[in-house]
Amino acid sequence: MWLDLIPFVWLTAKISLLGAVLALDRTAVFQGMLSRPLIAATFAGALAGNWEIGLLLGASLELYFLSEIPVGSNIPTDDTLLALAAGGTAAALSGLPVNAMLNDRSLALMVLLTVLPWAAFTRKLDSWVRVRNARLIDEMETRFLAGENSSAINFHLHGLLKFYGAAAGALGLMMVSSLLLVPLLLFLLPAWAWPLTDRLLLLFPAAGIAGLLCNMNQKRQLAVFAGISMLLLIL
Amino acid sequence: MKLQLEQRIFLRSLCWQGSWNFARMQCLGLAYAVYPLLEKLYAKNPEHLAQRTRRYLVCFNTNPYFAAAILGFLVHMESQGEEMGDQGLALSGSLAGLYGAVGDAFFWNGLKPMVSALAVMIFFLKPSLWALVFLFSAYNLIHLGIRYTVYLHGLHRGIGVIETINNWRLPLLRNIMEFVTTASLAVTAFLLVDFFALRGTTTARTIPLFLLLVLIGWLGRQCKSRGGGQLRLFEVLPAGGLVVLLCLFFL
Repeated sequence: MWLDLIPFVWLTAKISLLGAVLALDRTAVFQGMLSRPLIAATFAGALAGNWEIGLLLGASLELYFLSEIPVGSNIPTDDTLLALAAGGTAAALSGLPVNAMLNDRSLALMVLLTVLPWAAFTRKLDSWVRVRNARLIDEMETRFLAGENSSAINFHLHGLLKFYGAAAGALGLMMVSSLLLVPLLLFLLPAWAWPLTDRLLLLFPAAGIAGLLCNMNQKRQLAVFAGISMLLLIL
Repeated sequence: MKLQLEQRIFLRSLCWQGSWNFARMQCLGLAYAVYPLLEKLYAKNPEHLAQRTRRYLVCFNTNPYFAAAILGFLVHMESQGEEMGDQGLALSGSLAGLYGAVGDAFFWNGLKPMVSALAVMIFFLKPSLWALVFLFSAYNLIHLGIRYTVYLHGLHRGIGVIETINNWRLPLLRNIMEFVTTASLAVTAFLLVDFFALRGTTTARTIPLFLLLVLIGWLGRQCKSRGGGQLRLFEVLPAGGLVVLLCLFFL
């Protein structure tokens, strides 16, 4: 039995270590949208052997977290970690025979239900890393005063290690919990409800659309949205 | 200044927020990016180099993309002597506030939602990796183009970079991007009906699309009632009842 778990442990370690590199793109390095759920979930899915389910999850989550923006010292939910954990878990579980009765969308929903409650944790973790990073200023000042200029300036890069370590740890934790909870959720859910679950996934893109419209210039954007929707209804 | 040094400083600015902290925010990133220039200017006097670098460890926060403009400006001022360097640093605080507001509105409220919404629309139109390719390439072509251009303008024109950015009429561009975002969101809602097979055995798309729009409207009200931001999971899940009803009655 323990031997059966080895591939999952290996996969969790692989996604945690490689996914955390992608998670650096979120704040620390580049910020070139590699950390967007669409890309992150597909990447994790590919690592676990099923990029299609990762892509589906990424597309469902992409709009959902978009209405939270990192203005000033506001720390939004880390959708990269959630997408990586969800994409990796869903792809890992999609190959199991026990999930043969579920289609990709149902499995994606189940995984999201186990991963999304970690949202508050990701915000707290990000804040914790940023609080810890403040110590680097003192370290840098001390080194400068000691005349060790080159090593002092490189303390900036220690922040990257902190972001990376926190992301890798959190990813491992989220994936393990999700890998354990999804089978439990499937066990608890009555079989008659299974066919309905694949359509419930649309709640996330729908909530994303609603959140984005809510954040925009209400009157003008709602008029455009309503106008185009009417046009599409008529056509 | 050699081209190599300019590029090195720009490359260092790509990890501008590597040690972002609540105490002084991006100060370490700023010092890290400017350091190669200071090292070149004060190579013969390590104590003075340390002193000049420590000046940058002040509270600093701006939009990470437009930070390149401020960096270019600071490099421009610093290369003209210590007095000019001090003046540049004193001015950079005001520039940070200005570019923070303009940059956040343009990138986080304009470009990012637009590219994401278009990428999601491409996915629901035909699920493939093209959505991902579009998201990555479109965003980075625009963002890196702007980032490098404002850096070069700051570097060569100094404070003139304000005029350059002002001439781009970013608020107008943002409004246009918001319209594109809204249009693609409406098309995405339309595509969701087919993607999630909400039409079932019926051929008409009208009723499912109408109900989906009601669902979006209801979620939007939820969002607005608590002053915007992202909807939490417990706020979204009750709407699942509507989807279940939709499935039971129309499929």
